[in-house]
Amino acid sequence: MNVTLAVKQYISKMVESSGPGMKVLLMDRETTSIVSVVYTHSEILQKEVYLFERMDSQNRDSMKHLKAICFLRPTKENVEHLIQELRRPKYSVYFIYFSNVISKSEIKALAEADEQEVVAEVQEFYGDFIAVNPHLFSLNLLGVSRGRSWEPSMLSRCTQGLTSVLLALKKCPMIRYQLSSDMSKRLAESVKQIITKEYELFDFRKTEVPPLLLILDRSDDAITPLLNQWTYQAMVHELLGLNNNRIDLSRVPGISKDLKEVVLSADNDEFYANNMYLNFGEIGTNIKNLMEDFQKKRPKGQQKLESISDMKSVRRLLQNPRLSELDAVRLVMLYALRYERHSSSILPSLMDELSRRGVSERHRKMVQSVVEYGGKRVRGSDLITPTDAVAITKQFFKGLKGVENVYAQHQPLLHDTLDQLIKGRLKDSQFPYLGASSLRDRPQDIILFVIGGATYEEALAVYNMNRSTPGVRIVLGGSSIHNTKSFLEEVMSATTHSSDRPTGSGRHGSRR
Amino acid sequence: MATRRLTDAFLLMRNNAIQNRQILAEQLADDRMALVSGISLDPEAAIGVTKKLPPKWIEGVDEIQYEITRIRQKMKDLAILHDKHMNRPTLDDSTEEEHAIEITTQEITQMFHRCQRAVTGLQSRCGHCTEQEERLLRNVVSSLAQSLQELSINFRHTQSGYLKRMKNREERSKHFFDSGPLMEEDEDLALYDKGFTDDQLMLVEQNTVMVEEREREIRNIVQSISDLNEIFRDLAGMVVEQGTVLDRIDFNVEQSCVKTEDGLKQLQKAEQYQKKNRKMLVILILTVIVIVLIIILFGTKF
Repeated sequence: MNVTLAVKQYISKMVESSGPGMKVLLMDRETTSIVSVVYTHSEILQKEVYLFERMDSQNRDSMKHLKAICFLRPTKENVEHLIQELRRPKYSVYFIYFSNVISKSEIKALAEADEQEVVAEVQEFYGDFIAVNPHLFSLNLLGVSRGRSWEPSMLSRCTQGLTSVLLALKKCPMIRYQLSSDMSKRLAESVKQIITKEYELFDFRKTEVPPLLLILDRSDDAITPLLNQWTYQAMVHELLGLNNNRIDLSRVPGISKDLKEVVLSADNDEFYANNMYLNFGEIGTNIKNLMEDFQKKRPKGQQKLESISDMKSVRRLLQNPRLSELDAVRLVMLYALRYERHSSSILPSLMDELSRRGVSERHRKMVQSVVEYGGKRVRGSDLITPTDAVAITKQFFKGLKGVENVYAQHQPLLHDTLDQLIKGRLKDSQFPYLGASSLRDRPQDIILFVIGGATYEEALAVYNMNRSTPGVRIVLGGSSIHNTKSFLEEVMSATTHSSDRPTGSGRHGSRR
Repeated sequence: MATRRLTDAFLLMRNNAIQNRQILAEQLADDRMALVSGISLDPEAAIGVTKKLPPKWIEGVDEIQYEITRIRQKMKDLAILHDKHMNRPTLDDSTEEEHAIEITTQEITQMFHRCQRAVTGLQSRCGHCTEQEERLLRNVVSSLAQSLQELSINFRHTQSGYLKRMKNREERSKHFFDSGPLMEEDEDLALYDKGFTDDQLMLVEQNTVMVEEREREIRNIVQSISDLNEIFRDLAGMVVEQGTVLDRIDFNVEQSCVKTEDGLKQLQKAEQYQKKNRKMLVILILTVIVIVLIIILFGTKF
C-alpha cells in the first residue's frame, strides 16, 4: 500500500494515454501540489509534457500545436473555468481528468460548452490527496474544526480526500471511529455514505480479511505535536517547516541564494531517504548548524513530566532566561495537559511566571485553548495515566542503560492504539465499528486518518510498525501535517470559534 | 487504482447539445432569413477563430528527435560490432571489422555534435515569441538536452568498457608472446645463438604489427571519449539538476505567475512615468510661452 506510487500511476496513465505529441498540463492550485510531490519536473518533461499552467491564470496564449491534459478538482470554480476555456479553446485537444467524483449536471454543462468538440476524454482519477511519503498522506487543511464540531466545507473536503485514498489503494474497508469524538463519527458516516452511493466504484476483489479504516481525532493526543521531534524529517518540519516536501530557508541568516528553497524528497535525495527516520544522535555529525539551535532546546522539550518532583523542575526551567517564548509556552501547555486535574497543580503560578517573562497575551491564551482542546474531559483514552507506571520503570532502566535513546523516549498515543489494533485488542467500547459487521481476525491493511492533523513522529511510529510486523500494512493520513506552530494555530482557530457565535467560515486555505 | 470513464456519457450529452443547437439555429434561420441561403452554421466561422500556425522551431524539435533515434540505432549496431570483434580469434587479421567500428564510432560522434549544436541553436531560434512560448521552448530544450546527455553517458560507458576489454586482451596476449621466446632460451641457452631464429623473427614482426594496431584502436577510443566530454559539458549547462527546487513543477508554475505579476507591476510603473512625463512637458511648454510673452511685452514697451 503505497500512496505515492498510486498517485504517480494515475498521472503516468493520464499523460501516456493522450498519445505522442507536445502536451501542456493544466492544473488548479491544489492539484499542482498533488502532482509536484510525486513527479519531478525533469521526469515529466521526458513524457513530452512541456508546459505547466494553472487553470485560473489569465492571459494564457493560444497554442494549437499542444494537447491539453487537465487535472482538476471537481469544484464549481474549476468547472466554470473549464466552460470558459472550452468555449474558446486555446489548445488542440483536451483530456479532462477530475480528481474526485463529479456530478452529472456538471458534465452536462461541460458538454454543452464544448461547441468546438475539442474534448477527447473525460475521466475520474482519484488522486485527491497529497502523498507526502509512501505511507503518509495529507490534505493540507487548516482549521477543520469549530469547537467540537466540523467546519462544514472541511467535512466534505475530508470525506472526498479520504474516499479518494480508498479508491486509489483499491480498498473497501470496514470503518471504526473514535467514540469520544463526535467529529470522527460524522466523518465515518459521511465516508460510509459515499461508499454505499458509489458501490460500483468500490466493487473490488474481496480479500480474506477486509481492510480497516480507523478515524481518530487529534484532540485525543495533544501532547505529540507539542514535543520536539528528534528525527530528521520531523525536526526539519519543526524548525523550518516542510511544506509539500519543500522548505523555505530564506529566513535563515547567512544562507546562500541557491539554497533559498530546498526540496526534501525521499525519491530523489538518497541521504534524506536513508536518514529520514534516523535519530538525531545518529545523524548529528552531519547537521552542525542545527546542533547549536538544539542545544538550547534539548532540556526543555523532551521532559516527560512523570512525578510531582518535576513540577519544581518545570518552574526552574521557566526561569531559565535562555528559554524562548514559544518553548516556555509549550512547556506550560504540556504541564497543563498532564496535571489538569491534579490537586496541587501549580498552573496559576506558572501562568504568572509566564506573564513575568513577558510572554504575549496571545500565547498565554493559547495555553488555555490547548487545555480546552486536549483536556481530560475531551480525551477518550487515558493519554498519560496507564503509561505512567510502565513508563517510570522504563525510564529507570533506560537511565541505567545510558543516554542512548533518550531522544526517542516519547511514544505517541497512536503507537499504542495501533499496537492494540494489530493484536486485535482494540476495545469496541472506545472504538466502535460503523455498521453491524465487525472484523473477526486481525486486520492486515490499515488506513488511519487523524482529524486535525498528523505529525511526523506518528508517521515514524507507523513506519517502524510497518517494518516490524510484516503481515500488516499501515498508511497514515491527516487533514494536515503539524509542527508546533501549525498545531497551535489549529487549536486557536478551533477554540476561538467555539466561544463566538458561528458566524462566517473558519480558515481553510491550504498552506503554500 | 480505480478510475471511472465518463467519456461516453459526455459524448452523448455533447451530441445532444449540438443537435439542439442546430435545431434551434435552423428554426431561427427559417423564421428570419427564409430567403437568404447559404447561412453558415459553422461555429468556427461564427466565432472567427483564426488557426495559428505552429512556430517554426517545432520542426527543429522533430528533426532532433529523429536524430536521437538514429543515434540509438547506431549505438546498438556498434555494440554488435564490438562483440563480434572481441570474440573473433586473435590471430585473424581482418581489418574490415576494425574499420567498420572506427567509421561507426566517428559517425556517432558526429551525430552527437550535430544534435548538440542543433539544441543550442534551437534556444535562440525563438525570435518574437510570447513569454509562454519561451517557457515552452526552454522546457523542450531542457528535455532534449537531458535525453542527449543520457545517450552520451551510455556511449562513453560502452566505449570505456570496450577499451578495458581491449587492454585486458592486450595484456593477456603479451603474456603469451613474452613467455614464448623465454622458454626456448632457458632450455637451450648454451647451444643456440643469442640472435633470433627466422621463426622467432616472424613472430616478433607479427607481434609488433598487432601491438601497433591495438594502440591505434585504443587511441581512437580515447579520442572519441574526450570528444564526448566536451558535448557532455556543454549539455550539462542546459540540463536542470534533479532534486533541486528548480525540478519542481509547482515551483515552475509559481515562477510563471510571479513573472506575469511582475510584468503587470512594470506596466503600471511605466504608465505612471508616462503620466508624469506628460505633465512635465505641459508645464515646460507653458513656462516657455510665458517667458516668450514677457519678452514680447518688454520688447513692445521699449
